[in-house]
Amino acid sequence: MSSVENRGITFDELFRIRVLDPDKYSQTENLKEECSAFTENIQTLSTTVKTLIDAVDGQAERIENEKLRAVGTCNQATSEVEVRKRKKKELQAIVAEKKEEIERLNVQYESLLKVQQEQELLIAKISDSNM
Amino acid sequence: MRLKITQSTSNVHTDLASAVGWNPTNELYSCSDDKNVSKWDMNGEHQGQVCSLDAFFTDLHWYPVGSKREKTGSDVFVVSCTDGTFKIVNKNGRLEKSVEAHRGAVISLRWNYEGTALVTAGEDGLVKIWSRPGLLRSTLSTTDNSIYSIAWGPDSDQVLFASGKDLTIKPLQPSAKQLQWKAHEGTVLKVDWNPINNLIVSGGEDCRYKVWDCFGRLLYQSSPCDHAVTSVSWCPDGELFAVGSFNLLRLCDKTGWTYAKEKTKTGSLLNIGWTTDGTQLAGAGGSGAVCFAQIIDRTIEWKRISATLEENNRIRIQDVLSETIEELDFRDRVIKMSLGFNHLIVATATQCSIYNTSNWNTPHIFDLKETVNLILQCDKCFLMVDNFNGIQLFSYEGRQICNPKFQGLRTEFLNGESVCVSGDTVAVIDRSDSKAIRFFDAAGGKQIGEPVTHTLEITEIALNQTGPNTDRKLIFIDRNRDLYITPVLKPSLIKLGTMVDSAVWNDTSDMLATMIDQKLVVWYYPNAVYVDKDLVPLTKYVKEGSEFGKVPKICYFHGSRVTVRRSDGALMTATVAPYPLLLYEHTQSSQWDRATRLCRYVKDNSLWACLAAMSIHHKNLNTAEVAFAALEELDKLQYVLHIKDMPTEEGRSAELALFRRRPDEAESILLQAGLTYRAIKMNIRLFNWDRALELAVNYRTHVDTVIYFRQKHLEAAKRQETNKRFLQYVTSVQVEEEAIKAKIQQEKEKESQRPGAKRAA
Repeated sequence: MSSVENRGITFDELFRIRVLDPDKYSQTENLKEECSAFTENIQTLSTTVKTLIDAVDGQAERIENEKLRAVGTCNQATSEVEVRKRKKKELQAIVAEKKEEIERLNVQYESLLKVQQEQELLIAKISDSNM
Repeated sequence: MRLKITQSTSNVHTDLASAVGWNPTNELYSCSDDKNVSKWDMNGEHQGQVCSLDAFFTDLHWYPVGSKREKTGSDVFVVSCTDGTFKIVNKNGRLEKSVEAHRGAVISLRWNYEGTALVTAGEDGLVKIWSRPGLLRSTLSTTDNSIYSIAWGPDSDQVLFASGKDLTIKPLQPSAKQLQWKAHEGTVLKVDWNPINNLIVSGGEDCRYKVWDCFGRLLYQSSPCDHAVTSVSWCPDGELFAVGSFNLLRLCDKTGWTYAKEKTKTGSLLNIGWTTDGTQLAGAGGSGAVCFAQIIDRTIEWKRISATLEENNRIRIQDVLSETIEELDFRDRVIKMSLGFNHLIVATATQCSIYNTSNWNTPHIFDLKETVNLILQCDKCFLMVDNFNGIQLFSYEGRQICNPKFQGLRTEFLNGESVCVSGDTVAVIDRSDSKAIRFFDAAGGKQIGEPVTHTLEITEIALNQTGPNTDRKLIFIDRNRDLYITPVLKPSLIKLGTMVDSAVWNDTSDMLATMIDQKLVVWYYPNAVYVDKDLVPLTKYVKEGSEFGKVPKICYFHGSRVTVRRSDGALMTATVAPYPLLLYEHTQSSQWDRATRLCRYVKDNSLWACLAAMSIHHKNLNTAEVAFAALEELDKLQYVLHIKDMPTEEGRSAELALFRRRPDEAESILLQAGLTYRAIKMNIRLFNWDRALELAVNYRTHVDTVIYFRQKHLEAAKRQETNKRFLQYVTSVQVEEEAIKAKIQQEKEKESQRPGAKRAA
């Protein structure tokens, strides 16, 4: 009000000295508020972006792991053919060995059965003729 | 039988382990491409590094030591190196000598069995012989290929080596011919030759292992394995061998079939070493690992009892009939065990325990100072062989009976086929002249008579187990697989059969089981060949059928049961009739009437033939008469009746000797008894005119009788006298028929009036 005429120092409603004229001052105040709002906004944006990046990073890592695993599994799958073959061979060798063993035991068992038969025949013969 | 493998978790050697060798005190030395030699104890614990030499090792062999006690200056081993040297190193690792031996690497080397020579073979294809101090004696052979493996022959007079696909046996004598044959489809990597059974085993890159005899004949060929066979090694007693390939150790019987296969984590097993007692082996692996294997689950059977060596110091006894199980624990590892004749003998490293099969709690125990090589049993005693004391006989109370010895006895080469024992006799094949067999008295250890000699090398012998020592018989099989029998006293060889694979006496009688041409043939009464050869075919039992396969081996012949091991390892049991056993029982206790009754009951000609032969052998004429009558052998029956008619005991003995086709024995019996006339008459009956006349002239009696019979004989044959001696006497002696007949009559009366003259009842 009076400061307009003074073109310099004015007083505001609370009687504090103002150098700037009230218009400019209120604009400045506005600007300040807007600025702080803007920084706040920027900060929120940056945190949001950060969480986003983190999330993406995590995802990337997971993907990378999955990729590795997939490669591993893929390798395993391809080599499995060989492993199976080898295992099969090993097992076959064991089976052949066991077969041999069982063949041996069968022969022994059969020969013993034969002996038993012969003995039973003999017993029958002896007990028959005694009667 | 199985292998128990132990292997330390981390390798001591940082590079490929190339060879292992056990020293006489049972420590293992291993050498490796990390230039170190390491020492191990029997349990597979590493005992530290012995030495580190600047060389890559290829082979290692300990200086041979016969017995634990003689080891002066012999604690050395020799290693071959890739730089063409071999190095003699003592047991503490001090290098005694390094010798430049070959161009390129030395691959294999071996001391001979006496330790007097060393043979080396290398990449340059040369075989060189060195003296004990390491001086070159000779270059034995030159070949185009590298020689990968080498072995000495049993008598250290020939060398076997593998070059390329071939095996070569080269005698040390320059004039003798070498034997070479193609052995494998790939390079032969390892050979070994056992001195006891004289067999060769080889393994090669064609993934097979093969067993050969010393003439290069193939006895066994394995089916192809997954990997090349990189090592083979005989167990010192020659019953087993081990085969090593990639991550695999195999235990095989000497006939080739596999007892056990075990996986190892060693890479390719490049070398296998057995302890001298044959209870354990070690292998050197391509990964640098050294693995140890114990042989466990060894089983022996006798009648109803089976004994299994479960751990190296625990035996499990199983009685099949009473279903009881006993466990016997020992302080030391068990080296040998033997079961039979109601006793179990267990020899550990330090003690011998004798168990009676009826009581497992109180064994007789005595100390041993040497490693036992062999235990053989008979009903009264058992025989034990070690390299220091030689052959020893012990009673079942553990008392030493005797210690038979002779010049040239090589105990380290004895096995169950070259020595045998019965209650009163020990028989041994003479190693220095394997055509001869020596006999020893089991009570005193003295040699009985001269050695029995044959025209060919003898490979197997066996003594019968029952009867008095006058009935002791030996059978043997020679190099041509012919079977012979001879009495121990007054040897006379008779051939029983050809193509014989195996022959075993019965444990309680004189029955003999043989494998002839893949058939089981049982001789119920082998003594029949000395009584009456005509009866032999009758007393033989042939079991038809080819179920025994090629080269079967008889393991036991207990009672009426024969157990046969086929070449594929299967055990087969066969029975023979139980009657001969009963017959033996009756005749051994002289119950002839019961024996006759048994034969009448069974109504079998083979049994009657046995009885006939037995009764003639025991001079029981009445039984013989019955037996021959049953066999419808009229001529023999008549002759037995004729013998029964003889007035004197001596006369009957002589006639029986004649029956057994032994006229000389008959004559000497008669002459000894003073029955000159009978002796002369016997020769006349045999048309043995010269001898008859000689006797008559010598005893100045019955010359005219001889001439009288001769003339009658010539007249009947319508021939002229041509014999000069008779021509001479015909002119000088008067022949009157009447007088001669009177004289004969007189002789007969005189004979019947001799004191003790009595006709057979």
